[in-house]
Formats: sequence, structure tokens, C-alpha cells
Amino acid sequence: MALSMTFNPLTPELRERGIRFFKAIEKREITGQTAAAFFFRYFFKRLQIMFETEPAKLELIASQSFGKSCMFAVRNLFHVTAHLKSYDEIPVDDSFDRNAPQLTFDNIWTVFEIVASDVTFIEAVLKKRIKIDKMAELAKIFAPIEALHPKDRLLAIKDRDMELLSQIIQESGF
Amino acid sequence: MMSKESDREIWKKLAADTKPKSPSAEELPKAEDYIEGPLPEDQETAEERARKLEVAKRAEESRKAEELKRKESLHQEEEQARKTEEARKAAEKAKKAAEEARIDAEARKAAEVVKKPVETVASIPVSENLLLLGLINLLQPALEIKLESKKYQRWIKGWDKIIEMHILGEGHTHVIIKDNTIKAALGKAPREPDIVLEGEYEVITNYLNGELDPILMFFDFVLLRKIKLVKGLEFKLSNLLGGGILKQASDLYKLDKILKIR
Repeated sequence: MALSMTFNPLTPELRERGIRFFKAIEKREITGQTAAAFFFRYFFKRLQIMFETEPAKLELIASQSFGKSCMFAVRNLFHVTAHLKSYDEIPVDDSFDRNAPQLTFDNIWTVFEIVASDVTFIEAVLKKRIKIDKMAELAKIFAPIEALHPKDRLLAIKDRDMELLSQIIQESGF
Repeated sequence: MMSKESDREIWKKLAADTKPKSPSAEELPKAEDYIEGPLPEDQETAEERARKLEVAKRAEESRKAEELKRKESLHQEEEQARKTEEARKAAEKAKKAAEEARIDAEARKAAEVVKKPVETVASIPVSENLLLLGLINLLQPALEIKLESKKYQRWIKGWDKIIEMHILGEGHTHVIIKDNTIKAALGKAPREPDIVLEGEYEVITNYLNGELDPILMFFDFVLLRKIKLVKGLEFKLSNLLGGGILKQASDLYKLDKILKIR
């Protein structure tokens, strides 16, 4: 989660679009479901780029991480559950799964700062900007990704990573 | 009687003498007698005035010279500041360029690595416990960030301790605290550990996340339920008498605070 939740710094253009997108989430012009779907979709699609020459790793991650749910909440804004089915299928709904781990962000800008690489996930956790419930369950989803995630890959795919993010934000109309 | 008359005479005379005389038309000043401008000066006044003028002139010249000097100094300072700023900008630019070059080189190198299909299904270390490795990868940066705090630096100063965590059904991990650094790693401790914790993956992970209630944790330690403190606290009579238990408990408390990621 420390490395796998590390993102590439955004280009100025993408940062601007990202800010507009997150402002829309903050103003509730975009639902929490869309916001959570954006996060998980970007996160897992990025892995596909990162490990495209290593299908075995992708399979290994899929076998360990999919088939589980993860609750995603932003305090005073929304609370949704993402069902991690496959790299291409991550439906999000308003259900509450008491056995699922939960990531609760203090506000939507913490999510943005992590995606924009202004702050690392672990820094945000230590500063109590993110609360994790059922850490063990969350670790079961993310620890395998973390273990297989070399830092240099992230840097190597920077351009395609930005393209992917741009595409996902564009699909949301921003 | 005579004297009285004499007195009167005297008074009359005195009054006549002191009576103001009305000036005649000749004696009165005429309009043409008035001349515009200052009264004519005598030589002494003129000299005094010239002297004062000279002093004032010198003071003015001195003030102007001072002003010129100050402006020159200001100009020099500005020039110096501009040069310093230019040098700083140039250094910054060079540093940025070097950093960009380094990032580009790293990216190129990484891109080359990605291009190579280096791993196949068979080459993935299946035996490697991804859950534990992921946990260590999470714990290590958390410990590093925590150690930036002066409080924790003070706590671990001079420590040489190894904490081994035996995660049931998964394997071992250990944390080495030495030379004011903390390092988390997979596997058994390289030497005899000072503290050994034992528990299931779920419990240890939730404990590291601070999800276990501290009061319950106390009973867990004491009653050796969820997490066993296999080694690290010894209830010996010598320890009780010598205060060793307090020291051990204090160290355990500090470790508890350091290891937790929140």
C-alpha cells in the first residue's frame, strides 16, 4: 500500500482538469459512486499497463485481490462499496458490507492529493487523514499488489499513466 | 505760604518741560523718506551674514555629497542583490536541469526494463509470501516517517533491539532497531530477538493499524490470548526487585507506539 498507492505527479493540464473533477465531486454534482469507481478503475487499470509484459503477475494479483469488496468513504460526503471483480469490472453501489475493509478519507481533496502524488498514502494514514478499518482485510487485497510493485515501473509508464487518467476523467465529462 | 507757591511754580515748570511737543510739519517724516528693502547694514552685520551664508553653503554641499554617496551605496547594494539573485537562479536552473536529466535517465532505464519480458509465470517467486511482503512494504515507510519525529528518535537512541513477529500460518517478520534506524524485513531475526510476538495475520495486522483496543491489548498480552508476547517481559523475582520489569514494560510501551501505523 505504500508503493502501490504511489502515483505519478500530474501534468499541469491534468491537474487542472482533476481539480475541476474533484470540485464537482465536492459540490455533489458527481455522485460518490462515480468518484469511487474513478479511483478503483484508475488504480487497477494502471496495474494492467504496469504489468503488461508480465501477465503472470497480473494473474497473481487478480487471484489474490479480486472477489473482495472494499468500502470507500469521504467524511460528510459519501459512503459506497466497491466490488472488486476484475480489472475491467469494479461495480460500486451504496450497500454496506460489514465484513469489508473500509477506507475513510477526511475530505475529497485527500483523495486528490494522493492521486496527484502530493502526498503518499502512508503519509496520509499517519497524519490521520485516512482511517482504515479492518486493516487485515484491506492488506489481503493490496498487500500482493504492494509486494509485486517495483517503483521504477511507475516512472517508466508515466506517459501512458497520464493518458489513462486523462481518458478516465474525460469519460466523466471533464 | 511762600513755599506752597514755590512748589506750584516748580510743578508747573516741570509739567511744561515734560509736555510732549507736537512736531512741526518739517520734522515729520515724509513718504519719500521710506525706502523699500532691508535697512542698510553695517560692515559687521554684513560680515556675519556672509559667514553664515558660507556655513550654510558648506552644509548644503556636504549634505548633497552625503546624499550622492548614499545613492551610490544603494545602487551598489541593488547591483549586488541582482547579481546574487541571478547566480541563485542560475544555480537553481542547473539543479533543475540535472534533476530532470536524472529523472529522464531513470525513466529511460525503467522503460528498458519494462520492454524486456523478464518474468514468466514460472519465474514468479510463488513461495514468497506476498501477504507478508506487502505488510513489510507497508510497515517500512511508515516506520521511516515516524522516525522523523524527534520523540521517537529520542526513544530509540542507543537501542539495539530485534523484534520478531511470528505470524501463524504465514511466516516470520522482524524489525531491527539499531544505530537510530528501524528496518522491517521478512523472515526470522538474524540473531536472538529481544522481543517475540506471535499471532495470526489478521490480529497482527489489525494491531499494527491500532485497531485493537489498548485495554483489551493489555489483557491480550497478560492473558496471552490473541497476540502472545513470547519474549520480552519476564516476571522474575530479581526483575521485580531490581525494577527490571518497569524497564521492560517501558520499552514495550515505546515499541507499541513506534510499530503502530496510526
